[in-house]
Amino acid sequence: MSSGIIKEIEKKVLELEGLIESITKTTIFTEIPKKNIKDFAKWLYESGAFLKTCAGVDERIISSKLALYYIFGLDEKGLDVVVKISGFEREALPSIVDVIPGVEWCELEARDLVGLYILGHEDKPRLVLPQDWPEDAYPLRKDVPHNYRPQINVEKFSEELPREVGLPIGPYHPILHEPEYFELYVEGERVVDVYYRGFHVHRGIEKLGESQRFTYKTIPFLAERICGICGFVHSSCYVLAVEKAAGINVPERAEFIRSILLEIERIHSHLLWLGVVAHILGYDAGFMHMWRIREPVMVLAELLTGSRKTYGINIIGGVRRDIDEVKKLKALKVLRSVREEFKRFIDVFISIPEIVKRTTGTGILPRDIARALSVVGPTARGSGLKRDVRKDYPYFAYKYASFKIPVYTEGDNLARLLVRVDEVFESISIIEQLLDMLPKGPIAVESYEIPRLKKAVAAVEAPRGEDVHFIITGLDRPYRWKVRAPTYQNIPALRVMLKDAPLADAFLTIVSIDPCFSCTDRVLMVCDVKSNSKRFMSLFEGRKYAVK
Amino acid sequence: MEYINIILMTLIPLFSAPIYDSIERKIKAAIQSRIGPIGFPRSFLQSWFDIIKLFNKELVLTSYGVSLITILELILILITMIILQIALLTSQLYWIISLLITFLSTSTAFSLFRAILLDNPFSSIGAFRGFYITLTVEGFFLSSLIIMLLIDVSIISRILLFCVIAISCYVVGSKVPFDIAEAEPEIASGVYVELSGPLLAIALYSLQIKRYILAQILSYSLLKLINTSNTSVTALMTVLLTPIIWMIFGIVSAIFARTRVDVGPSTLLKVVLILMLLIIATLTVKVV
Amino acid sequence: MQLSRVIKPVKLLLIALKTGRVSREKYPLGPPLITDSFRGAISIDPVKCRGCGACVLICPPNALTLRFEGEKAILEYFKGRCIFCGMCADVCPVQAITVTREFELAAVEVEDLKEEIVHVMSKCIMCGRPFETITQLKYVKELKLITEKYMNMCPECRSKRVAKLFAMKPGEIFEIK
Repeated sequence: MSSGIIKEIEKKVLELEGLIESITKTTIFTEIPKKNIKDFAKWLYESGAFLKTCAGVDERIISSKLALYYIFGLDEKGLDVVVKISGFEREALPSIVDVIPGVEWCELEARDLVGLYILGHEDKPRLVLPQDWPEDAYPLRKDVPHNYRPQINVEKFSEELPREVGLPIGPYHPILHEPEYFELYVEGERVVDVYYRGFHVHRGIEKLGESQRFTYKTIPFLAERICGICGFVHSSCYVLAVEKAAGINVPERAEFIRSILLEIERIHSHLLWLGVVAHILGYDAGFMHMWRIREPVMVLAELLTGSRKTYGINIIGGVRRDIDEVKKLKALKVLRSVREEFKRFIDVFISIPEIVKRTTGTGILPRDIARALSVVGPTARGSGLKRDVRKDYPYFAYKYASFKIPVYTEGDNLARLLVRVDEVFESISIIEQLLDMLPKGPIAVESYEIPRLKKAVAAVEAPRGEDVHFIITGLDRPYRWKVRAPTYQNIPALRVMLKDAPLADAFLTIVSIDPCFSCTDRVLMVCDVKSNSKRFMSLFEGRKYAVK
Repeated sequence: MEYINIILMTLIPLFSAPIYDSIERKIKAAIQSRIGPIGFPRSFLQSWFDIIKLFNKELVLTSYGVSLITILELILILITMIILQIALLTSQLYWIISLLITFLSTSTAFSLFRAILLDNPFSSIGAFRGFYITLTVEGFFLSSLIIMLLIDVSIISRILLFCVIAISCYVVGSKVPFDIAEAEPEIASGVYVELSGPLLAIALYSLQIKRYILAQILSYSLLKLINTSNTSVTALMTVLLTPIIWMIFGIVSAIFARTRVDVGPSTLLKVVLILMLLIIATLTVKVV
Repeated sequence: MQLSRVIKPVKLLLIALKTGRVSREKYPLGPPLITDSFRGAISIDPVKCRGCGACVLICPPNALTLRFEGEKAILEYFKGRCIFCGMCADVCPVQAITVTREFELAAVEVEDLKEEIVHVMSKCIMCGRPFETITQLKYVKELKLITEKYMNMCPECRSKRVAKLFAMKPGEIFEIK
């Protein structure tokens, strides 16, 4: 990390009458007066920073203000910049959406959940909360209990549905495994506009993590259940954030084991995705064979951790399961055969004429839009952006492994497919390298202490892209825990990709970002809230906004 | 004797079409490294079990038009099937063959009625897509069939005609690259989305009979290609060849992915047009 | 070149032939396909368990709960909620909890998913209120942290007594009722 850029940022912050809160090895925490935030964001954006997310925080107990933390990442320097603006309860905060378009969702989320008054978003419909949620209840404020359930007024939704529904996909659709809602406006077989409404399964996992119900020790298991496919990413990201905030030095062996498991998760996720794509394209043989190849990877994960999914071995300060010599040899054997089988089959897979034809030139995301929306993961790499947390902000044991980052510049579905195919091979090679180098030593620290009101940003490269966790530590549990799943950053790009594309490829394009809607909505997969079918009618309220 | 033959020939597809479908599923499962329907009776009768089970499910009618069309489609296809059997046994009758062609075209065109009559956007889109695909090949299919069955042409033209018929039979049978009417994910289950219980069973059964007819037509033209003359032998041979052709279709459909509504018809049209031009060339050469 | 591209999709048949069938023919029969390190449901040894509640505190999904009914302390394990993380086995001070490899846990009644371990509580010799499980008290006795007299009192009475002792004048005699 170069100190030059830190000096520059310091200079700029002071120039804009802000102050530097603290500087750690990987992050700069600053506070900027709200009137200057636009200038600062613009300056950061122009010097190459990507927006990671923003988080609204109720700091009324500490400073009697509500705060909004913008988190930027300077990928080339490996440096996170956290910019805080704050205001009293009804005080208006400026929006930076006209400088960085990708910020829209997280600003709307802060408005919905923390009740920040952000200028420029007054007329927009709710993003996260359902339409029948009471006006003045903001769930992430500290005075709202975590089990608060408002009275719901069903009659509000008795208005009849409009007749001219485009082509609805969701919230429940036979091909979708998670509730989401797309409304495609079509002319013939061309899609002309798209309206998306998500967050049907938002259950406030962040609030739960801040509640009495959980402690630092049990949250990794909660975090793991944010996503059913890349759960280990979330628990790793959470423990990484806590370890960064508390300054815990994790034993090297634990870091290696975490990296190995993250890569195993990437392999299985990519194989799963390739299978799903084959299924969507009507190539069921591809679906079956891809998942057949994936199966040994799942068994390997079970051998190393004790569970096929939701490994449950991450704890703060280390891991709970060791990789011994027998397991290591078995893992190497499995990986060798997986690589061979995958190589043989993927050759057939990408020679199927229909697959090539349908993925080439569809769902194009141009590089400049990808940059403006700060998309992450294979979606970014398929559009020519060389972004990968493993290289940009080396964490765990990735600095010891040598690997390539596959980048394709076409930006279409085929590019994203090929990125994932290449990544499977890279991941296998990373695991082999790390298993060879596995150092000796303990796998967890004996004891640790977590000081209060320390902040940290952690990012882990999930199969879908960069996963970001932002933490402000509190007593026994985080004061604020913000999760930004990779799909959160990618869904806004779908609108660009779907426009002017054939309807038949719309679903393929939606899937091409490997969406994980429940991750985005931050949900517990076990759902015990009775869905009120009438509630979904309110989705159509957003229609006017979409067409505009 | 003749009548008994016709009745026998008619009964075979009624029972064996779902059986062939079950065997095709088993073969597909083998290609996909799966097991498929397990056990002795299920390996051969799974599609029959499915149809019976669907008949026992409740019927939800969205409109009477849907049920009417579905039943009419089955009746039309059954008539086509019976006429085909008569044509096989008495291939000298020209009017029978023209009747066959008429009914064949009517039953394939029936997919359009679904598109027009149904209010559901998913099924209309699916039906129109199916119609594009059928429309691309139907004219060529029927004309080559007429030439093949009625006119005595050279062996080269016959091979080319057979190619056109084979492609068309595959396409009209809506197997994998061309099953965009019902299987595209974004249109739920396309033309079948409004059908429930017994109606879905009828629709699936008529699809299976339709596939049987197409396989039988293809096997008959294969025999024409080799130029067998004896009608009763021909009839028997078609009955034996039909499952083989059905299974070959099944294997082909397992190794391809689904095409798109704008890509599929244009590629098909190119291929069929080239073949037709070649046929015309060979025919005119012979005349000259 | 062109031909090999056309032929390639057919290679699938070769792969399928070589692989054969991979799905299981008859599922419930035959050994389960799990590895040695698989974590399934936990089993609690009622003899070893002292009812200290360490597992209840660490359990992320609240599958283990401790409730008090009169003189009984009941440790309940509800498999329906268990996420099979095995944290309880890690923290158990007497290794009463072991992680089994059992995973076929379906049941018809929800009550069948619950396991209960009943501990008898020891009553306070001062106020007669049940306050701690007998097995746990036995362990404390072995450790010899406090005298037996204090051990059989509930925490409130204990602190009351200590307070009284401090307030006593020299020569006064304290009596246990």
